[in-house]
Amino acid sequence: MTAVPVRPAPTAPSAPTRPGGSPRERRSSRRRWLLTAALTAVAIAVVFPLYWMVVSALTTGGQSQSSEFYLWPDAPTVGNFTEVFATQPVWRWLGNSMLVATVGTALSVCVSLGAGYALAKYRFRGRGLLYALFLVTIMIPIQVTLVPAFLVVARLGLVDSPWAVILPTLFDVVGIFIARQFMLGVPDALIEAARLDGAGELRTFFRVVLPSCGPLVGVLVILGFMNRWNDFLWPLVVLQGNESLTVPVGLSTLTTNPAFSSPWGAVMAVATVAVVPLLVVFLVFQRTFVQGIASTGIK
Amino acid sequence: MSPHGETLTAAGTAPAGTTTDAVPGDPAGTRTDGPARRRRGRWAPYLFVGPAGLLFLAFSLVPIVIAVALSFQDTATLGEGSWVGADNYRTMLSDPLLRTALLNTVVFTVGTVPTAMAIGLALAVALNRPLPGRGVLRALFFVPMVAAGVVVGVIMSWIFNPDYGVANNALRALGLGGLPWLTSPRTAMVTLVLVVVWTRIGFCMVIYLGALQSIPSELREAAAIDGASRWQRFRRLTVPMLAPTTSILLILNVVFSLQAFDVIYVMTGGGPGFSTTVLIQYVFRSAFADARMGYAAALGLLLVLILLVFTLLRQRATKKAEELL
Amino acid sequence: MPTPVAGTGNPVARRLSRRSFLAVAGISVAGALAACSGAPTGTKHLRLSSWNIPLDLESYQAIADEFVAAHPGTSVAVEVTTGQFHQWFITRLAADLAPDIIRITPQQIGRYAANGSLVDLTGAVPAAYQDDWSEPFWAIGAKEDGLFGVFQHTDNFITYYDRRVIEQIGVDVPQSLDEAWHWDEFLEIAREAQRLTGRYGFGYGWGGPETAYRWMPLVYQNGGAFLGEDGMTPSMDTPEAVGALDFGGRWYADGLVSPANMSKSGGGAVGRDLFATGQTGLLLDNPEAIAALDEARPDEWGTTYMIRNDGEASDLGGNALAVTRSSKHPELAAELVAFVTSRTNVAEFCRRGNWLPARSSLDAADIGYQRHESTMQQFIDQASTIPLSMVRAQSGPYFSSLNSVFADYLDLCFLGELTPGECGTQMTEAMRSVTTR
Repeated sequence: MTAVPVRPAPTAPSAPTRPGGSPRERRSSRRRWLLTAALTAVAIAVVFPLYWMVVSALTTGGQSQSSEFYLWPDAPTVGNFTEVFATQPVWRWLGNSMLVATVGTALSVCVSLGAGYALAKYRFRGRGLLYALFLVTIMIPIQVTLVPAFLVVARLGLVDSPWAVILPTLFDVVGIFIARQFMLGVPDALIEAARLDGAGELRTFFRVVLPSCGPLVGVLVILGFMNRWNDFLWPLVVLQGNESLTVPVGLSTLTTNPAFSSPWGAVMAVATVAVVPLLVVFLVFQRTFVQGIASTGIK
Repeated sequence: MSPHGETLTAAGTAPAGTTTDAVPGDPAGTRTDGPARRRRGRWAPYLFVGPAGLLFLAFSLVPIVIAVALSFQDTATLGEGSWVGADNYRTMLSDPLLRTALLNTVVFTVGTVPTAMAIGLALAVALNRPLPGRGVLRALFFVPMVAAGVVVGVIMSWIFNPDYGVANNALRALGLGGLPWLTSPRTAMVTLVLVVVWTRIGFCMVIYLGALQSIPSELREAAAIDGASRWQRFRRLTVPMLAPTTSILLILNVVFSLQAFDVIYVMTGGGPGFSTTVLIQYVFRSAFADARMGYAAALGLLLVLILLVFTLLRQRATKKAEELL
Repeated sequence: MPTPVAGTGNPVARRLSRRSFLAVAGISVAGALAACSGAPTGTKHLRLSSWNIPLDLESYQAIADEFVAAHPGTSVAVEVTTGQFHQWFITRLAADLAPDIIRITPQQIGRYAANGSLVDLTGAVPAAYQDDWSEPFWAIGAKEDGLFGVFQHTDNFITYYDRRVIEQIGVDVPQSLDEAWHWDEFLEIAREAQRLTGRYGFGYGWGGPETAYRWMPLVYQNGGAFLGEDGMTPSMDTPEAVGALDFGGRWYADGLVSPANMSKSGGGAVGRDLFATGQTGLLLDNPEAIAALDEARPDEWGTTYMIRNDGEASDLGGNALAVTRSSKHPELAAELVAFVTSRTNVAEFCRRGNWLPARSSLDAADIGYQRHESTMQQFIDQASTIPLSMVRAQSGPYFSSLNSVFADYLDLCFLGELTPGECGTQMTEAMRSVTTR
């Protein structure tokens, strides 16, 4: 159940276990390069829309609406960025997104770890029912519970503070699910041994179980951060004031309004600003992420 | 729980199984302060699951109960609704737009889910092999997932604009005619499916990749030595080993597809005509454009019902979807 | 495996976790308090929510600062309305947390005026105000049971043309409202324009499904009406209305307008973009196009009045200001609304933001627009053609729903999925199911 380490060195030929002489080996190597070329082509197509977003943000009004085909603007300019940063509190939006995503992810990972541990490693009254109820909630579309949930948050006096965004999203079913899956794989012998050594329940969890959850935490952090950074419908209703918005909500104040048409350059610039930080985080951690997913044993 | 889940659980809790009735949280009373600790231990699972349970209660269960109550009310105007029994549900039976929306939902779901999963699987299998630049490729395929739905909608309607979008500009530069993309009822749904599949393949790929890496390589090597062809190994070994992953991905993807809102809302608003009006769009329209909260709640619960039935059927059919219910 | 220090780990961990829990709770209380602390005790705090247009936010804040200076013990914060207006506003109203003052379009105001979400401003707004508003513009906020908003500024549609294209066609541009191009003349010119641009004849200034109603003036230009005289009975199946649908259908059937330039197809201001890049020769649009055109092709374009047929009409753009029932200080809020809509402040707001005044006594010279004064005067003149019955229909209680229906069937007709006759009948039927709900 734990990670089979990713095989290293992509350049190493995979021949040793395979019978057959060198012509076959050559053919397999040629096929590998062909496959790589094909995958690269597909990958370029997959990345293109985001590349195009950046290009559009760097293009002046005239060229981006013309019917000529180009892959790079004639006169790239950061004008769209400087303008939107000058007229909108984009830094604040980024800061708010960062705050909400960081604090929310940190707390929600704790909640998910605890719940996952309890659901995987304890038998207690109501466990099955509770887990089933948890899972059913991912089927409820937010549009239906939006107004009722807002009433709850308003009753708690949280509206217009970052906590209104953070608290209701701490309960993360997918996170709990993944945590439970992973915890199922933590050997019980380990836990038992700790208990026999006299460790209490909490100590067992913090000192014995948690240290083996590194990859799990990695996955939960990446998925949780991504979801929170991109969350839209909920922050849209609970946040107030241009200075308090998150990036996607800020972006929405520039689009989808009937009273004025969206400033296209600004929209593309903000969209770029919304995606790039996440992209960087992901590219840095992608290897850990894939290995983490492997070791959570979602299967 | 299905057999597979049982084995997982049983294997996982084997040592605890020996002390079956004594709660696993109990250190078998070996300590001097036995009874007190035992009592304390019994509370442990509730302590661990407590925060999640409280949050669930406050921010999920209570709103859901209110929503269910709303579905039996007429709230055409804001404020207090009036109880109308099952009227909202009866209205659904004769609502032509709902019929269109359901049909579109089926088309959209059937179009997106298997496609995204198949591409995700193909990429995972390909990228699980030692290829040059494998790490970079994996990362690139995952990239679309980092963009928020609103952002995806904005970018894609820009790219697929038939007059000056880069898609048609490129086609025309190649001497081909442009396509109508989102502006014709005949192509809008296909374009949407394409976009949503694009956002999904990375996720499917990563999950499959994770599962592939936990298949012991000795198994595959043994099969190779037995002379099984690449395809045979894939068909007879990999696919069955991945079945539980497929099950989970299927259900998650169906949930995502049924709840896909932002992208469609931004790109087509349900049009042209009604060609991309799916159920969740209709829920939104009823709730906010029409201010019929009660009817919207009923529609939303219909969606939940569809998902539940699907999940149960799926579970019955394979007896392997144990992880999700 | 870590060797546990017997007996200590458990309580410590528990204490830790309790402390961190308290910390979380503490922060959340602090956060909630911070959220309320915008106003020191004793100060009456108002929140005004506007669309996120930087110039307008500045204008509102400047006017509000003046108001605060004259009203010690008050404060005003200008906030922004997020996307998906109804979702945001309904949710906020439900919890009594909507802003005190809302900037709202005529098409959005009806429902909230009818269901008690807005405060009656009668009495708070000087009686003389009504005299400076045209009957249609006053009717946006004035309902049978009260005054639920004051129309602050407007905009509408006129015709933009490509100077080069019009010169090559060799046609005279209308110099007054009476001379405005009739439909047939316009189509002829548009066909020529299409020949010259090689792409399309003209564009229309839609901005998505929410603004489908911008096409409604065409129905009125043909002597039709969206709702009957009572403001309730759907009447899109009359010969006049069907005639208008037929006219619109020809735009697309003849390839004069891009199929991407239809209300429900996304992508922003398609009509404007096409005109700005020379892909159409004409454009029916509102004053917002000016800034984009000044940037993309200064001095290459001109304007004339909106097209007409038997009747005249143009789009009802702009915004009203209304006080919501969430307001803790509705009188003060109403006073601020009256202050923002004073003659001086309307003029200043329009000058800065390049809007058209809702007040009849203001012309372009009074306002002192920085650029394009004659074009702005054309817009102001055009505003007089907006029919009262269209205003009543669009600011009625069901209009948000009816606008969706209008968008749906307009699409189907223009795509050729329905004939104009079928479209009129089916649209009327669908509208009826809304108004009899």
